[in-house]
Amino acid sequence: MQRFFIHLFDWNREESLSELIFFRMYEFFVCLFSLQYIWSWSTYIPKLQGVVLPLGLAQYFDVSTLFNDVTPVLIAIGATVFIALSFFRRFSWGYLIALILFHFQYIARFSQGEISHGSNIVAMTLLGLALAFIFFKQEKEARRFALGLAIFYIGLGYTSAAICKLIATGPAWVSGEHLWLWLGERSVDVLSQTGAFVPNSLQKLIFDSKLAATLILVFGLLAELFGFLFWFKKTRPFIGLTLIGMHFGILMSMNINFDKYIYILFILSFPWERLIEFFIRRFKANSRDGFLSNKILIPR
Amino acid sequence: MKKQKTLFRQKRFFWALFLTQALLVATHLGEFWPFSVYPMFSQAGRTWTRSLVRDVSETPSNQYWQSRTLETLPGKIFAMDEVGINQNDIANYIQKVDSWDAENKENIRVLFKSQLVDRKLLLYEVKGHLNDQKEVIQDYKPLLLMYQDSIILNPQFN
Repeated sequence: MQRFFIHLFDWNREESLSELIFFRMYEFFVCLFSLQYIWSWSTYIPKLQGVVLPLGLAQYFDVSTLFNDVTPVLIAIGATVFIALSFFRRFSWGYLIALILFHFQYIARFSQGEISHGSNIVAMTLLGLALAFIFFKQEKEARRFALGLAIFYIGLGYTSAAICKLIATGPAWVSGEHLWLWLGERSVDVLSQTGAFVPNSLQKLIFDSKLAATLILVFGLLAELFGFLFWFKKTRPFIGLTLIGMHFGILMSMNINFDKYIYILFILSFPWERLIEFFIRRFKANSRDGFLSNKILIPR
Repeated sequence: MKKQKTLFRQKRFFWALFLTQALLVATHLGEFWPFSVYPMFSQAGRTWTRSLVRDVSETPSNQYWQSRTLETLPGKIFAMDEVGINQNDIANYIQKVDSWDAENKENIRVLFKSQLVDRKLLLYEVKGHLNDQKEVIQDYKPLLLMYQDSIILNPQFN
């Protein structure tokens, strides 16, 4: 267990400038994705009327009080300010307050009966940042904790999803007719949303061949089951790429776009710091004191 | 020594978060966003319920309330993009609503209000299942007929 934590948080290793730059880019994208959700929901919430599913904190107050033109926008403005304060290291609790505001937007947006999963990964990465900058005063420790937590939850999330499938349905989960049924459901969804559903070539293949449908589900289940390999540095790029492939498969077959999952997997799966290191070396040849010494963008 | 302390702190916060997560999902029916115990597509082969809206402005009133297949639906398709509503919300609303009292019916009508001027929209409840031959069967049952200033529940709905 001790070795597992050391592996996950990688706390024993020195931190290079390229890793530091990578972290700031990761942090920037987490903030950007969070704000994308928060602001897009702020314009959707005023359209809602009744509450049929009180989620989270909505069990303790009437969430329909948020269904107006002003409150969701105020929440979005507040979240933006607190995220900016934390990003520029002016207020260490900013990310946590923004996450709570994010939660309020979520329980209002998804009070209509649907439990959405698209935003979970973004919120978990924001939670990692929030806890890291509250509990660790040293920047390096905070960075390692935030990344380690995100990596842990990604691995855990996928593997537990596969185990849940095996518990809820059993090995027969991979049987191709199940994909036909889901595809039938999604065809109604797309028709209902856009007014037309035209199956693409992958969807035609799924409808025509039970074997193809079964193989696709086998791939999806195995990809998720081995999600825990994301915890280990050596296997992370391979399982990351496999999971990205799985999400593209879901997009093509089911018209469900888990775009933020793809982006975050793309960011965390590969050793981008090596690429950054390459550019730093080239950059250093031309300039010794450029943007790399900027203390606000790259706090140490 | 400092590194050992850091590791101890990281582990402590990690387990504290895990415990918090377990407590929150256990006391909130498995869902306290962003924590959740509900993975997508875990139960395969289950009957599903979705929603679909048709514009029945030109349809005779004696054709409103029959259950149908997709090919025999009256009127023309109404895309929910026209009102900027996510169809998931309508589908889940009609699944989870306790009863179709006046307030719940009105909540649906208000969502489509901007497109009901001189139009009649019929909301269908769509159910899908696998039959014994493992074919996907879809059944379209009319649920709510929406007018500009009123809404009617299918008299045969139960």
